[in-house]
Amino acid sequence: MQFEPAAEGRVSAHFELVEVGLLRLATSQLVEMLEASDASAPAEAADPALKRLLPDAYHDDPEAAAEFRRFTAGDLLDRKVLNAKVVLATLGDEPLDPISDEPDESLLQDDYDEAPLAIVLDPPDVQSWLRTLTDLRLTLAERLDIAPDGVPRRDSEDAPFLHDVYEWLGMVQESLVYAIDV
Amino acid sequence: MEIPSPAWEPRGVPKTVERPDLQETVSLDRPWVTIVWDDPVNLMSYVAYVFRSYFGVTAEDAERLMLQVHNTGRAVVATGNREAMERHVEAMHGYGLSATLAREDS
Repeated sequence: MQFEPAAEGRVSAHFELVEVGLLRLATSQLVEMLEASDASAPAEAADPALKRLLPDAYHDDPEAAAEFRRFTAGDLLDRKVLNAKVVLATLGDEPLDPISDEPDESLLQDDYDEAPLAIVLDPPDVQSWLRTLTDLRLTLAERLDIAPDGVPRRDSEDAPFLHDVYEWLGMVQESLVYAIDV
Repeated sequence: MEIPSPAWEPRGVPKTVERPDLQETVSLDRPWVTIVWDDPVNLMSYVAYVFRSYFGVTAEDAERLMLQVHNTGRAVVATGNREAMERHVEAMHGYGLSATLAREDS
């Protein structure tokens, strides 16, 4: 996976199918989380990830922060969902859950299908990708309890895997930033 | 460190030493600022990209602002009236950056 500049302001990269599956899974879960949330009361939301996605606009004025949230949180959440859905759309129609117990027969039978998937993004797609990758990393950082120095403090069984995903998403994003930075 | 002013948004009326009687008025008209805060998640390359593409600053200024956020924990990225700063903060939240607005020097 490495994004390269392509014609007409596009960028392209080849994703292994397992990478596509991982990104689709994570992004689908992000959409679920965002759609299940209550934009009107994220300040009281139990989920710290949602609080980080919709941070306070005023540090020392809770009233102004609440008012700002009332006027902006709904739109912000809607845009985050739209961006995530753009990412899902650009990833194609592969099976949603590649880590299912039932192997996809077409993958076993047809060598061609095991080839990496070419992902091509136009400039609006890139904007959705950059924002969604950020939202995914912010969410994972909350789950991993990433300390200010960047070290995860969560010590659960799935923490090493989540941290690998977190690091990989960072690589994808950096590659994307460099590809459009020409 | 000198904070580069975004070209499209002139900074507030400069305080004058020749007219100290105007100080009170100037102080009442203190403009608002948009502050971006450091976080351990967002990549330095991405933060610099956001400053460059959203605020339209040069690559050098974007890099300097990003390093200021990274090294000192925060940076003022825009100055102006409250409504404009609220728009910037909302945009920064859209990018996933941690941003607030406040009265200048508050």
